[in-house]
Amino acid sequence: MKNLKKISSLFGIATLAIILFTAGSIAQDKKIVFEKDMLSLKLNEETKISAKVVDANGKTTQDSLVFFTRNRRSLIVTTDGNVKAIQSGDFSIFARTLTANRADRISATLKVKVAYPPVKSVTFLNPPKNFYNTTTISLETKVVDEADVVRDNVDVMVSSSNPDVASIDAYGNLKAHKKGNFTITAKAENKIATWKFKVSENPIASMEISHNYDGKTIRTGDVVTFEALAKTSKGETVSDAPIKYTYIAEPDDNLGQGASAQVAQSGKFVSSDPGLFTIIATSGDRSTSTTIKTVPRNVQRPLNLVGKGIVTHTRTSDLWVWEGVDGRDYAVTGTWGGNGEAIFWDVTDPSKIIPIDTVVVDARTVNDVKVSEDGKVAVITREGASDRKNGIIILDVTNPRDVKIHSEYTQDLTGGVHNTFIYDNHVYAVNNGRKYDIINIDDPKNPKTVGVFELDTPSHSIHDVWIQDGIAYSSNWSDGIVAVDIGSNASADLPGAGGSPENPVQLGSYAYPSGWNHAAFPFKSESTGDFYVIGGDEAFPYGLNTEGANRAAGWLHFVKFDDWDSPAEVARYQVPEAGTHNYWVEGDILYAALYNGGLRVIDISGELMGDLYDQGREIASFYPSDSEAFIPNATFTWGPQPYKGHIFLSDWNSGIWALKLGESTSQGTN
Amino acid sequence: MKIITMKFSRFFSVFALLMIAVFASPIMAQDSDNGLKIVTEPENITLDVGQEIQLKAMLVNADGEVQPDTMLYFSRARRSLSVTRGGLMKALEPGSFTVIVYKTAQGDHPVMRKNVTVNVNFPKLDRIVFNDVPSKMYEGTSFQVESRIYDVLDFKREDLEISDYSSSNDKVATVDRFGRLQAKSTGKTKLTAKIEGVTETQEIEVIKNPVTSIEISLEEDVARTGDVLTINAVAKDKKGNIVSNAPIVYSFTARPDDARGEAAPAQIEQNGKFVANKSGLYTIMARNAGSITETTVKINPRNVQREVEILGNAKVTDVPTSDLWVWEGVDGRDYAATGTHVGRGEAFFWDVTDPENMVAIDTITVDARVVNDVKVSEDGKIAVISREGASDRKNGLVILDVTDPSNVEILSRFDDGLTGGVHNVFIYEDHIYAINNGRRYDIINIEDPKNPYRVSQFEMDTPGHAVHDVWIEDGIAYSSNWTDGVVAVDVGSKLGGDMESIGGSPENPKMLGSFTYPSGWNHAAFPFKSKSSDNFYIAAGDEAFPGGIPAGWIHFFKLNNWEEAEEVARYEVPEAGTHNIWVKDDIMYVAYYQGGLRIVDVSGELMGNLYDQGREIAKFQPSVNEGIGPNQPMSWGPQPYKDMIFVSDMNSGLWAIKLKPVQGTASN
Repeated sequence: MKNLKKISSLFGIATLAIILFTAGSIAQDKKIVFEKDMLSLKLNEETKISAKVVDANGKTTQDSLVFFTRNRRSLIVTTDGNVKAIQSGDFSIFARTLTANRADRISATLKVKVAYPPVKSVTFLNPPKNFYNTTTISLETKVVDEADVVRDNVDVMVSSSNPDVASIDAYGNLKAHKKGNFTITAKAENKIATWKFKVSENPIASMEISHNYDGKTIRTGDVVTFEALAKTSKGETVSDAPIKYTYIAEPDDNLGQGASAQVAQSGKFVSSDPGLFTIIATSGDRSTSTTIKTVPRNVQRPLNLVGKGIVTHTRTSDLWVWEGVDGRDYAVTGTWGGNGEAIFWDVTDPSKIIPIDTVVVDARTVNDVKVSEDGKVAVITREGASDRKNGIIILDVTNPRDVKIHSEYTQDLTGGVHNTFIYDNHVYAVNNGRKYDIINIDDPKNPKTVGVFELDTPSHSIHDVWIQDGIAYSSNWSDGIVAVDIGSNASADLPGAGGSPENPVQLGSYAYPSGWNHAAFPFKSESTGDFYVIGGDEAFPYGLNTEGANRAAGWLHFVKFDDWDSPAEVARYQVPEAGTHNYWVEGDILYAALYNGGLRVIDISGELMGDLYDQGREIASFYPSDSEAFIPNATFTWGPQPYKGHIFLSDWNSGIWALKLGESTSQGTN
Repeated sequence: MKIITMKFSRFFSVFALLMIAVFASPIMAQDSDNGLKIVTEPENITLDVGQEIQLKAMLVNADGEVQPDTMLYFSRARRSLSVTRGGLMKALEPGSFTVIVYKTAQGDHPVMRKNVTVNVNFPKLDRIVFNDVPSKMYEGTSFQVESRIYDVLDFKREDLEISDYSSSNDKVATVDRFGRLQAKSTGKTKLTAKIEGVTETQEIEVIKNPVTSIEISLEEDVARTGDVLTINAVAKDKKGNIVSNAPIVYSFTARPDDARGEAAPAQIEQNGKFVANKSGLYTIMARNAGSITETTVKINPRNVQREVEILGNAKVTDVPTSDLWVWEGVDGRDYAATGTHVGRGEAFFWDVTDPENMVAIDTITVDARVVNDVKVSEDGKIAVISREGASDRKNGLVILDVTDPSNVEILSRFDDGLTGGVHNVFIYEDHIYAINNGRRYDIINIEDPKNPYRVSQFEMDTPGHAVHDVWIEDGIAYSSNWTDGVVAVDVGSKLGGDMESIGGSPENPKMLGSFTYPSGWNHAAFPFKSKSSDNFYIAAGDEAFPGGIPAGWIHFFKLNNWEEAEEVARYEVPEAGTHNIWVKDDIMYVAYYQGGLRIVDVSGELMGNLYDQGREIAKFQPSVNEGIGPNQPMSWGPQPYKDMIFVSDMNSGLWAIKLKPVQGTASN
């Protein structure tokens, strides 16, 4: 039990579901019987549920039970069975026995249906000011229920009073056929909206199309912005002409080729395969087109192994590489599920990585290791301490050959610290997966907590925090990336909010549906000046075998922030059949640890759109694996750090590695 | 990393030709060692097409003294530049090529090699040939001009591309540098394409466009990812008559369900075929000049995923396992045979009647380094195993009596004319089809298995041909021939209609057709008639190890008849490489080396990359944590058998698995 619980806390909530399912599959003679087969509730209704354990003869046993749900954002369930419905939908409550031996546990599921309130209103979201003959628009509706929740699961019936003039299909595509009047009706449950309008003369006489790569070579992955203009016969622009962008593909390799390009309705186009692409802009029965040629990106470079430090007795976790006060280069790696070790390495000559010291603390896992900017102080995290005092250990690494403990800091951190960051004499420590504490270490022997940042969403959970330019970017699973001002170096587009370590102030956030947000890394593109935060997933939908090889899932989400209030997820980097962990951006190059997918080096220059994996942007990949490693011949890369022209990385199965990116062989194919 | 590379180079060297082994072992073979080096004459070689030259190579020591030794010569591009083992080169095609001079180890002299670059001059250009550029175009329509360029020796110049296109009257029609021709208004113009002093022209008349409407039809407007929708658009004039020669442009707009940085969600061909990778709404547009019609389709997730249940593993971890064959024995029990790779010349026999407890029941050891292939006759009585690397250079076949698989007996050995090694075999209707030294296949009668005799051979006549495998179905032998692709040969065809026999037999094999693709990686082939669509496909599998790592994919050729075939789809798992394949009941089983076993829904029409379309039913990555390759799948071959799937894996042996029932409405 202890072991399994540890896994879920170490790798975060994404694994929790699997572990629970595993537990439920253990066959027993006993079973759990709920008082009711099913629970139906109204929104905000509270109730109490009960269940009993019966043996094979139907006799009630003395086993004690706990209740819980995996839908914590929708249902509040206390361990003793008090339930409150806070969202509508179909959910589950689990009952599980409490036994000393995990293998003896049994569980059962109660289906819960929280009724949706009736629809309050239906409205048209985007009726145009002019609707020109022959054009088509996508007419959207919005449905709100009595609880003021926007609903996307209500059937909306739309119809036109005069389909000869304007017809509408089930998906909201409204097409103008001839001049005249019409009324569109939308019906959701018993609420109705109507929109009376007319089809007017189409003023468009001609169309023009242009793009921002005129005269330039376009490579796969380059985002080309097309702009089409609709003009009247007098040459005036019809600014509200609805324009659709489509394309015809003639990829160089057309032998059973997959989809080779994509175009957004903003006119942005990107190809994943080289070839000829004709982009067509259409407005009603008017159209224009232009052809572009895309060529292979050809950014591939050799990635050579320089050195390795194989760890044979336990799993390796995070790493940090720094220049010591003596001018030599050092690295520290953590260990996972072992004896609470942090291993220090001399990496001055990356071809000879030498272990020089080991610090052992009372913990099963030292998940994270960080070193201060001046190279003097390190922080390591503790989870699974025998005395339940987890917290952090602050180390003196002035002499990395003889690391000394400055202090142990556990105040209010006993639930376990999973990740930390050191910034400007403060440690940011993720506290028990709920919040992060900000700890002043001006005097590293006497650390003191000066601030705390915690979200107020239901059942929030946090995994990591990373600080750049006075902004803390935390990763919060379902709550996504959260940017917090802790002393921001303000810029005009992305102003600070007067925050400080003592007074952290939230700036913005971005969440995505999977709820797998595990890491965040901000960067300002050197080639475009755009500001992105990369949100990284972590997920183990195939389980996690602590004795052998594994496979992870998830990808990197590129979220473009033009300002704090309008993030847009514009691109991803998704390696098929592998999953992301930690990553680092330097000079428009992304270094990403992909667990079983090894290390990836990716060209993220220029504007980003679509799946970068498909676009020939991968510069190199490397699969660390060693026959002598703790888990031999299997790759599970944890984290990279570009450092002084080398790339260092840690691998869960094998230890620490140093690599060097070679020069481009230029004319080569990709 | 090094370990992996070495391992690949080791097995690679066995399956392919000696020259490939030379490339794969660069660490061992260098062009100078201990002051010794290979010197070649002439120094710089430039040839015209058709020209021959003798390349001389010598081993010299540090003092420049010629040492006695034997040099071998290989061409890396045998179809373009042939070279005899004695170094006589002949230029067959223009371009830049590499010849390898290779010296075997002798006494104290190590293995060495040298690369010699040979430039074959490009002949002068002769002509440009357009595709079917129409002489009459309707106003407002467009056409993609494609030009092929030929030189005076009639070679097509793939390396050149025309960028100088012009129209004599831009008001009538324009053309851009990529050859996109747009008819603007009625009148006449002349299209001109130029390159290196060669010109081609065509007169074009733009005429009034009679089209006033487009009608669109399609069978389904709700479909799944991977379903190929055929959009039929018909252009009509104002009287409602069909304008049959009006060109139609098909394109679409996408509203995928997940629009957060998603990859390219769908594709459409200009014949109106559409397939989506991602679920969502797609509005398909069919257009001719100013006439346009749209229709919206809804694409749902395919939801074909199923779970795999592992039944059992017959572990082999001390020697790499090669191919497998599973069959029902004459006693009604189920048996399997597996080969071994670069080992001890063993073939293992297993009782797999209870797949959860597969038991080794016999081992046959022959004089060979590799028993690459094992096959059993339809009646379950006779097996054949292939030999490579025999100590006495007598490779060939061994024919076994497997009537009692726990007591397998050797009936005969057949090595007559097969001493170069047999890599793959097939048993069909009392004949063995044996790949002979990678050059041809021999057809051997085994009506009396103690006295096999050759009845014929099939060999291609292309320069530098090589054959890897042969598989027979319905009286047609499908061989896999690297650069020459899949070759279908009538050995007594049972197919009818457009594909009926042309009178072939085992004694008189007759070629029906061949299906090639540019990579030249064709290593396996499996024909199948789709149960759901009636289409006839050949799944052609690659094998390749660029950089020592398995790569490649499955190519799907759709055949209308033996002459008309089109490569319409692929199944490409990123970062893994295909090996053997099997198709049964519209499900494809692929051993994907490091990608494990893949089970893929190949029902319906096929288009695009099936990997992206949610067609993967399941994957199974066999691995054990011990032996020669712990924690690494390296799957060799699958065989669906009864309601199970058997798979052989180089690092872990034989596995039996089963697909669990479909999970209702689970998401994918």
